[in-house]
Amino acid sequence: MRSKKTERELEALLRGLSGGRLSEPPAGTLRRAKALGAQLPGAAAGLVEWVASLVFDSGAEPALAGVRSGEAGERRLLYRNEQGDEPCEIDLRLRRAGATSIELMGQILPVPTGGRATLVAGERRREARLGEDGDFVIRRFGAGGTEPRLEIELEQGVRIILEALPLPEGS
Amino acid sequence: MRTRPREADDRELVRACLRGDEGAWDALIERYRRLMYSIPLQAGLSSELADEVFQHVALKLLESLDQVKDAKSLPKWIATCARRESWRLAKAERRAAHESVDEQADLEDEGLEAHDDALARLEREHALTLALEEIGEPCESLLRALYMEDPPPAYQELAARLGKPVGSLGPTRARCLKKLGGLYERHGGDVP
Repeated sequence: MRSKKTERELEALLRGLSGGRLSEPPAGTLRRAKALGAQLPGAAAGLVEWVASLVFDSGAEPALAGVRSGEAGERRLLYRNEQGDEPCEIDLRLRRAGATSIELMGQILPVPTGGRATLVAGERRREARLGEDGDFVIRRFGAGGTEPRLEIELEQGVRIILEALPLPEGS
Repeated sequence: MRTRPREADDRELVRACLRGDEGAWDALIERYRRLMYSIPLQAGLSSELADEVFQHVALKLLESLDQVKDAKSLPKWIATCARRESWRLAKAERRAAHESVDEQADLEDEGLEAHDDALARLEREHALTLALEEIGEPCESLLRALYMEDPPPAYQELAARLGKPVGSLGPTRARCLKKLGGLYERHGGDVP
């Protein structure tokens, strides 16, 4: 319980507040400091976030003509984003790699000039650079039974985050 | 811009800043704007130099987000940073005005920490202001009326103003002071 002494000190401080020693900065001062927010780690790269929709999931739909359905212990996913100049597709293949790990192979089309893909599950992160064909591979990733998140950052200043990738059966 | 509860604590705001959330950065600057600006003024600097200190502290904070994300007391960190820059600029100003070696030596001896007490009081007032802004009603109105109005209103008048029975004001005041004390400490305040 707060002591009487501390209570009296708080009362004295409250009485002192009416003196108004705290000053408000001019609007311009505040504006310039806020503008520094553009240099924040994520904002520094000027990244634009794109949203991609899942348009095909081999674990949830029957095989489509021309699209190879997933093999046992494998899941094929296709995401599409239409915010850029032309639609961007992210083709993913997730498969079991041992009892507790998964392997992710992916490709981004049209082929970007460069970038990286990062798979995240809780505190675990694994990163891969995009290859010349916009492809990447992340091997033996321990997702711990949780559906991981895939973060893709493209050199043209775009970030695409795919939350909760569905895992292949048996993961 | 994402929205967040007004009471998001400093640690949450700093972590959001580290994820690139500019809204969180705005909220941090808003929260500490008066402290960052008042410390240089209290140290005797002009409004132009106070603006310089403000921008310096903001930039240092931006550069140090990763180090302060686990800091127990961001207000202390900000106040220390503002004090140091204020002292540095004040020294530079005074050196420019007193060019002889003797006078400069005197300045070093005199020390710019003469403002220490006033600055510590400013930090306490800032923590208390944030606590009052956060405490909610009826505590805010009650405490402002009892301790900041001159003269303070009679209990009957205050009870009518707040729509409460006169007999409840005493217990409410005690409860509000207790709540205020908790918020005050959370905002980095200490008792003199």
